[in-house]
Amino acid sequence: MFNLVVICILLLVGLVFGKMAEKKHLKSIIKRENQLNALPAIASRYPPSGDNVGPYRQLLVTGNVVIASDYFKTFLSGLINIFGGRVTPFESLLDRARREAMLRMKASADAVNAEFVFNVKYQTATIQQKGSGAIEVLAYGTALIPERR
Amino acid sequence: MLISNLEFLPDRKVVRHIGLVQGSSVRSKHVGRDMMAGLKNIFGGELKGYTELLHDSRVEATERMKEQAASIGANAVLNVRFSTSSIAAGAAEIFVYGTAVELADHV
Amino acid sequence: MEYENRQPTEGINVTHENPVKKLLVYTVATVILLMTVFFVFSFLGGWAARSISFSTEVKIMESVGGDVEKMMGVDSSGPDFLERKAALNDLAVRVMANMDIPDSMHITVHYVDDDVFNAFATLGGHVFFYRGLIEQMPHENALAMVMAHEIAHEIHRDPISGLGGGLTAKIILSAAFGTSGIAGDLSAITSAVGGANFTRRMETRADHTAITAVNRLYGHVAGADALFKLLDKKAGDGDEPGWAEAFLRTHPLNRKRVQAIHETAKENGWETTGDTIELPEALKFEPVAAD
Repeated sequence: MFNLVVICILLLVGLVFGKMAEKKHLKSIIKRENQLNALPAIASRYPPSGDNVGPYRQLLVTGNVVIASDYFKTFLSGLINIFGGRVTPFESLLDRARREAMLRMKASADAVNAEFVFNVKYQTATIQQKGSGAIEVLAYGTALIPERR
Repeated sequence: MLISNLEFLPDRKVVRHIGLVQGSSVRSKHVGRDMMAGLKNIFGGELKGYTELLHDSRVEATERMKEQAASIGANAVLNVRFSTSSIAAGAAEIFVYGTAVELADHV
Repeated sequence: MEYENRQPTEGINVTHENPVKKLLVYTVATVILLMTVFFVFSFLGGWAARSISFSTEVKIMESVGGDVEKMMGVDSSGPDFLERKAALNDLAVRVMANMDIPDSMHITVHYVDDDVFNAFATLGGHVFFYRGLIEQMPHENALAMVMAHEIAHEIHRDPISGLGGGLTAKIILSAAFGTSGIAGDLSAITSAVGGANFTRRMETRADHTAITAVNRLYGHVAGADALFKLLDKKAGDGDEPGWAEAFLRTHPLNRKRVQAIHETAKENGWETTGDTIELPEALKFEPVAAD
């Protein structure tokens, strides 16, 4: 009985705070995405070449973030796990984590005045932590910084 | 030392491939941090401690890879890739590897 | 080559839904699923266990424990142990004469010299009575009701089907849903609630069989509800129990059991008043202070 009350409180706390944090985070992501929109991050392995481009200095840039799921999401996904199907509570979590990692990578490229980031790759890892969900997303790529000669 | 995840460089010539180099780092946070993370698992949100931890590990792993590359006379590592695996509760291994090459000077 | 980053439409990778509604739907579905699995396998397990013949049940009990009294730690050195056991058996014979006991079944009544307020029926037709319970019986009619109740459990094969059903359901649930995490926790709760529901139904059925026997034996059911009144007083559950407690009780509410006795008597036109008989000398104890 006592356990049930605790679970309900945790669910409520997770739902309210999780939702608030998600809204705030998404707003900030969209804002920063617009700010950094001028810097293209490209998944292609082939950097621009030709006589009228470059030369570029290169720098490996990374951006990472570890995001924890809230109690509500973890609980609901546990139930969904029984039946299978789309684990919708984690969709928004992963989406935010990927975009945040990308933004941090772009920000560090922007800080060194890069013109492009090429060969962008994502990597997602679960950070195991007493049965509850936390994920790390890493975005990395090669920043091309125009060099004057 | 030039580190890049591209396979070639538009304006530089690779003279010689001299082998696979790698760097790795396993780290975990102290109990206090883990407890904070446990709380965060109720509310949700970023685990800043872990973000820093993994970033620091990645920097260290990259340094080690550079050290390996320097020891075999390379001046660049190309096609660099990262890999992460959690090996125990709260501990993660960061692994970074790439091809050590000798680049010619600017054309 | 031109390079630019255009922002795709927001929210393509995210499903828009009401999380609270989803939680409710999945919780209800999970509870229904777990309950269904529990009841199906409790029933199947209980049915399979009941299909084991009584003689096999006795053999199993013997091969596991040998002498039952020794296994239960019965101390036979207490004062008047043999007389008390004999008096209990006399009563058992009279009660059983009024019950439909299958020919293959053999009931053994044991006396335990211990303060514990308890009586129970277990595998192999063994029924145990504790001094702590007998001491508080106001008359023979009350003790006969308890006796008939425990023997009824044996007639219904409740000990073996409870064990078989409970074990089967628990094994299936923990195999299917694990023992940890949210699914594991929920299946543990289901086992507890479902198990309690099963034993409650067994108790109600045993009460019904027992009251029939008591009426046949004495010609009336007066005093048969003494134990439940006593339990009611002991537990002090005068107030309505919380809903969680009502779900988790292994026995029906004592007041409900008293009520059920009177309802059964009324339906069958049995006498509810009559003279109660004193306990046999061997089962009388020094008056104990009511606690």
